[in-house]
Amino acid sequence: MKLHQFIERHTWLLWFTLLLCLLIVFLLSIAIGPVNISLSNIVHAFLASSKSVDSTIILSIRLPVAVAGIIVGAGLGVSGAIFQAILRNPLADPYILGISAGAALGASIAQAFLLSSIPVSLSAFVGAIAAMTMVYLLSLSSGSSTPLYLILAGVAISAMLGSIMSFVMLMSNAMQIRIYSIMLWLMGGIKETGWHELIFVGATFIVLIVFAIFTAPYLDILSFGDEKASSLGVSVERTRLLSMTIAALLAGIAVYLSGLVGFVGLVVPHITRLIIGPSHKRLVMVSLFIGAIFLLISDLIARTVLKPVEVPVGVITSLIGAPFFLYLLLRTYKGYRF
Amino acid sequence: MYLTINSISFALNSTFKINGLSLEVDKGEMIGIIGPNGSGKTTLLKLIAGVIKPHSGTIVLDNRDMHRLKQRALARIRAYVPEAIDLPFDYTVYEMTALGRHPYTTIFSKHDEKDKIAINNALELTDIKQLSHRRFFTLSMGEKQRALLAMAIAQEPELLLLDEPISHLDIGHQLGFMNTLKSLHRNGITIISAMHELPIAMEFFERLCLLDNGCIVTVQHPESKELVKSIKQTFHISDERFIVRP
Repeated sequence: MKLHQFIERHTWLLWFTLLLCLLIVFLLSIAIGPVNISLSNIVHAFLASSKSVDSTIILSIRLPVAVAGIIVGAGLGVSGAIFQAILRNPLADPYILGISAGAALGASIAQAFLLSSIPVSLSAFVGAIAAMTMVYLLSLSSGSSTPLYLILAGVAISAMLGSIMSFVMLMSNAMQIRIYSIMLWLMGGIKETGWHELIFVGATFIVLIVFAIFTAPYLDILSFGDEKASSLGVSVERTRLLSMTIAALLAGIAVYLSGLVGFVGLVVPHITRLIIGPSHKRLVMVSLFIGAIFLLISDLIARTVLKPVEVPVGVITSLIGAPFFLYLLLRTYKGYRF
Repeated sequence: MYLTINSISFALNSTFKINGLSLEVDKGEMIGIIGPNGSGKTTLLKLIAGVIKPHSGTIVLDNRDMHRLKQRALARIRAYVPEAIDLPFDYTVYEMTALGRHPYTTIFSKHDEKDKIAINNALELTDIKQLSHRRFFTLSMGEKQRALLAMAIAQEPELLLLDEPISHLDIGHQLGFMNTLKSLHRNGITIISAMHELPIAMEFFERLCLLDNGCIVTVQHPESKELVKSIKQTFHISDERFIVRP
């Protein structure tokens, strides 16, 4: 509680700290890799258009991965915060409404049958959004997309898509190799992305974040339940659909860039609430920073812990995220509320 | 008439329905809705609040058809306090009260002086100014009800609707809460509240509306003998000690 009040009085300190932390991990993630690069060379690569080996590594490998890492982490953090509010459930995460199952099915269809004609990432993105749409329409058919119906429809659709995926894997020829590559994809890791693609994805990401920030105050109202929200002058169904679309697309982008990175979307909003409380106007903004920082740190660990082998970043986020989440749950018995 | 409910019908499911219910309320009145469990008190309040729409019939609020009003415009006129709010997140009392200003703000605007005055007024009128920075889950039941009331008062409503606001409070807090409602009523707010506590309802309300099975049995001044008789029949009780004040 005292931390919240302190931050309330010194908001600039919060933003300054977050920016500084993000900058540090961003530079570290550019500097550290199979070949370590010094800070002066990084600065050099940015400022002068030198053709040295270091600048080539930075501009064509390290920088795109670091930028993608920020987009994935920030996107999952914000998406998780939105889903937890509209589902009125602190245990919700960006994948709960069928996104992970849809993405996994999309990815395995691409790997098993469409190899090389459609990229896995695109097929996963399409699968994720299609599954989410199905869940929404299914919940809507019960009259209104209340949080409970959404979660139930999400569970049902996820289970169904999961079993379809098992069939796909069984039916694919040359099974073993492809199943391995599907498994690797499912673990989640930042893929190397070209600049053209990254700029397009980044622009979409920024638009979505702007929407997320402006609609954040509505999340507070929605968390009071449909009837109270409606009595406060919010058109619940429309607002929920808008917020859900933003959150689903952010999660979809993350899936597109990195497969299924677990626990970021679940844990980041909780870490953020511990620091600044539950008010969503700030929660969305701070989750963005903390998500990005959390993912870049996890990626750094993933790249260095078994050097020269790179561990999928999703393994690390779950390894850090799951115990932290358990710790939060244990704290609820001692009075911490979400 | 400030509020005219014109033979509204609403079916919740095959077993329960409100059928052609009419009620008139004067500006500045304080009306209690009483009736057995499942008699339709909550449904009636939700209909008046406009959070559910009747299948037929009209509700006229201050000479305007309520269902033609924009939700935001309606939210500046009436506030609704549901019976139980199961909050997933632990807001402070001040943050909650500030959310009551939602109908007056847009996504681009910050709270201005006027909003801050309204929030402070709401906290003062409900007597929880000193709890402003406490978190909702740390409050007692009585304090939680006051926080929810403050959130509603921050809407600066003309019409305040409450669903069994004192059912979970001890007798001291019940009377305290009712006195707060009374003082809001003196400030000119029209109040309609569902109630289970009959003697308290008789003490504080100007008229009582007795519901049974989705229909109004009678609307009476609390002193009236006829009301007591109807209550005894509707609730199937014979002992008057539980109904009237000694």
